[in-house]
Amino acid sequence: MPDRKDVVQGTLDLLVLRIIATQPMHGWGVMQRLRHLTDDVFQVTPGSLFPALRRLEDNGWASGYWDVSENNRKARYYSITKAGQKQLAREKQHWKSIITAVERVLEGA
Amino acid sequence: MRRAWCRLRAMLRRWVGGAAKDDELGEELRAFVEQDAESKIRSGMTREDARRAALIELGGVEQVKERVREVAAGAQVEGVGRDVRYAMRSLRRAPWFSSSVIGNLSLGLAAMVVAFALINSELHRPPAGIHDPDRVVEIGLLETGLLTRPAAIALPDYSDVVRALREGMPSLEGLASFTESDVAVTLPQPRSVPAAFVSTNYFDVLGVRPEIGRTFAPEEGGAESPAAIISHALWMREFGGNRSVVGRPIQAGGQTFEVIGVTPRGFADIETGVELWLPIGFVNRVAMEDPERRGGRVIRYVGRMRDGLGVDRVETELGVVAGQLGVARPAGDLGAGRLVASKDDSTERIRVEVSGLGVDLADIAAEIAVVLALPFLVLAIACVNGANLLLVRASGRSREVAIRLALGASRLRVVRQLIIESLFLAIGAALLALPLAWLAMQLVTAFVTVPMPLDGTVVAGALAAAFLTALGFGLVPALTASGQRPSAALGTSPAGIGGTRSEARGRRVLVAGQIALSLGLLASGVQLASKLESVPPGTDPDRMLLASFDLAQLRFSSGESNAFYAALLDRASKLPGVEAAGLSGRDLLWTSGVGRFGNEVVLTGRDLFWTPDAQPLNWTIQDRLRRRFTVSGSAGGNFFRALGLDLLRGRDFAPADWRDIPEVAIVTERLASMIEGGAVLGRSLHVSTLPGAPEADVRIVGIVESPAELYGHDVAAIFFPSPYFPSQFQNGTARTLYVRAEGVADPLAPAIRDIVAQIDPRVPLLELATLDQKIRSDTKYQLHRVLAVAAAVLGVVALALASFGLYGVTSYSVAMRAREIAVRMALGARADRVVAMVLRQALALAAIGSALGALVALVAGYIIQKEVFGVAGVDMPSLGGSAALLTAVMLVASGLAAWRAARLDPNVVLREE
Repeated sequence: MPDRKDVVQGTLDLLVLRIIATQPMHGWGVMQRLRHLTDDVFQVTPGSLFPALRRLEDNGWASGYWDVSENNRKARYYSITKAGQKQLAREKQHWKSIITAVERVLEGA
Repeated sequence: MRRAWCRLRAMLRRWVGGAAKDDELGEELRAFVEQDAESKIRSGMTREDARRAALIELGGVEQVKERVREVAAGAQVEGVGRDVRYAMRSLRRAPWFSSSVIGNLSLGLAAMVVAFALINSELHRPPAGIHDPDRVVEIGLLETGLLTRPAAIALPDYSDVVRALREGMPSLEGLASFTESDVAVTLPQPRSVPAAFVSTNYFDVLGVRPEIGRTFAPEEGGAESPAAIISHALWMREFGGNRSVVGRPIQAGGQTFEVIGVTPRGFADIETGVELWLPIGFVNRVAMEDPERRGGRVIRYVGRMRDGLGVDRVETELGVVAGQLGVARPAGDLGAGRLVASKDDSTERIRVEVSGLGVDLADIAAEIAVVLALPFLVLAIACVNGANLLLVRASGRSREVAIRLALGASRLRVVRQLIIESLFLAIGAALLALPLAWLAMQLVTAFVTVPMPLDGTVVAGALAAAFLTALGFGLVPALTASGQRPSAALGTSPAGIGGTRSEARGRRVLVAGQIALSLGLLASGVQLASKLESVPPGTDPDRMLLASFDLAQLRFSSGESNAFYAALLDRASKLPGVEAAGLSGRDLLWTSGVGRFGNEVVLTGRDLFWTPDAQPLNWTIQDRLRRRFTVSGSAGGNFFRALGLDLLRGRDFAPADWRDIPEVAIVTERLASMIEGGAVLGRSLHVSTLPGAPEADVRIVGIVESPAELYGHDVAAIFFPSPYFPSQFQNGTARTLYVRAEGVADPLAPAIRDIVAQIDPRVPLLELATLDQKIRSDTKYQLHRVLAVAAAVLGVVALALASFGLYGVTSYSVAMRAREIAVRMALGARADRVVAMVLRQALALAAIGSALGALVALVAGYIIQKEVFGVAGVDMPSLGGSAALLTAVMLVASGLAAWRAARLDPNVVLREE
């Protein structure tokens, strides 16, 4: 159990980081964007999204601030930090190497 | 690294503004819901539907919050902090529950702490004042002949032994020797003082610095320099701590010594209690002779190891040295032997024993097990109570737990929170237990003089025990409580849950076990105590005064000794208030060390056989013909009357019977009963003592009542008529005067002291005490008393705990069945029927527990009697009394619960549903 959770969590953190790297975004926006980008493959619930945002913030990869949203509501926005960008690059590299490795095994078999 | 720093900062931020952050998260989630709802409205939903759909999508504000909290930096620490606050709040809200648990556990923990303190003091016994005691080793030489015992080597060979040891042991920095003996000291009254005769380097090897004055100089080893060192205690007691004591003369063993120093406070030699140190060169002039080692002494050695070496190294070296030595002595002689360098079959080999000064944990493991077992049982009983209370409480608050689980708290968190509550209770109990234990220790030290400091180690032990206790009584209830399904708990009323049949049965089994254990403890304690309090029948210990002498140090001729004892006996008998006075060997009766002080003789029946009946403590059967036991010669005077023994048959001794080798004897009834064929008077016995010593054929001329030894054994003894001094059948030169007073004997003591001083002011009184005082100061007796009192006290505590447990379980089951009882009463059941129903259930439990407990007590009683008193048997009155007390207490406990059940108001109970 914990293993699977870890993988999902790690992946989720990466995806969220990638989304706020384009532009600062609030929680709901991140969720919509994620659904849209993955063609609804990833049904992220708030129960896992908000802990992920908190993790990114606590690790210093994202910073949150209150702003006014596109429809004039107060919302908490998250923007990527310098450390977050480095982390994103690292994670991307890591993810690619995993994909390549897994593919190699699957193709070779 | 950077990441860790970020997390730390986040954690600190959150702590500073913890509540604000939580509020912020709430606001963020609200904003999320609104955004979500708005987008749903845009896609065509009604406002209401959109809002509901958004909330469902979120999955509950509190659940999300809980999950965010869990990932947040420092969540664990913060969570524990919150749990602590929560625990304190909820415990404060249930003061009755909290104080019951704390009260229960504190009793068990207090018992545990006392045991810890006892063990702790036992482990830290190395004598005070010794420098770097870890490097000091004690070396004992054992001879391994017929008996393995400390080697007694003739004094002239002593220096050879020292040389051999010193040369053979390079791992020792220094080697000193010592031997202990009582010495008569005039201060200014003559009295006996425990002394050690030591080599001059003794204090240097131990690293003891004198409080004032100096220690022995190297040239003071011989008998020509009479120097003495006194203990701090003696200095304070006899000299008032006056510094001018140095240089003063002191009379010891008929010689004059000059006090040259005082040992530091607390230092009392390797063994405790030594008050005077004299050069070893004086040992054969001043020390009392060891009757079992004629012509020699058991000399012991202490060495200081070089830095960084271990005891095993010393042991190896010593083994080599000892392998080259042997002890030679004439066949059959048990006195001192001569040291020989070569070995053959005629010599006894020497074995060595090396031990550090500190007490080895392994050495007292058995003691520890015994000392810990009883308090551990009590603590276990208390833990069961605690667990029961928690279970009861858990079922009462199952709704609370269910709500927390439903709101997204993980099971781990709920368990953690409950365990933290238990821990709080246990720590509270530990804090209460410490003063309780302190009180109990004052009680214990009133009986035995064991220093029992309540130091850091003990407190740490108490806290550790409290922690384990918290797990012990809190874990099962916590797992039970958190294991429930929220829907089940929320769906039913609290009265219907927490009382499944198997759980209820489990609780009952625990309570029955408690009752059994408490009865076992109580009955054993009472049994031991009542047996110890009973004095030997027929004697009034406070009417008997004993005065002990040993004229050996004064080098009296036998004529002088006889004159002294004759005058003593004569004048003591004529003292007003004295009923009878008699003289006999030292420490004949009422000592726990039977056989150590009395003479042992082997009795052979030429024309008679011994019955193979149960042998008394002081007998050793060698075969049916030969028996070995303690014996003492009786001098003139009214010895038997002084002891309160009636002559049953035959006649008493007359002066005409006095011979060097006795021809007649008087035996005790007990001994007479062991001779087959009854008619004992006039029969002959062959008496021999140690091999090589004189033998005698004696005719039995009288039979006296058996004196009762401490703990009530009938002593099987044989008495010979003897002149005052000396006799082969008498214990060396020591004598005890037995004075039987018409009333309380204690006031006679000064008069006896005066008589001795008038006859000969040089004669030291080794001991002057009533039998009552003597019994009470007996160390083994004291130890047994402490054990008895401790077992009885623990038994009472256990009983209190068990009755509490019974009350708790009964009133819990009443609470669980409140609805049933209310319905019954509403349907017309009378209150007495309800009481009977509750009582029946409770008392059935008590009866089962008592039956088991009685069994435990019977077994324990049998073992106690056998081990402590030497005779097996069960003390029915103690057992019956304990059982009666238990029944009464159980009746009260269950009666209270039943009374509460009968007072239930059906209207109120049924309306609550």
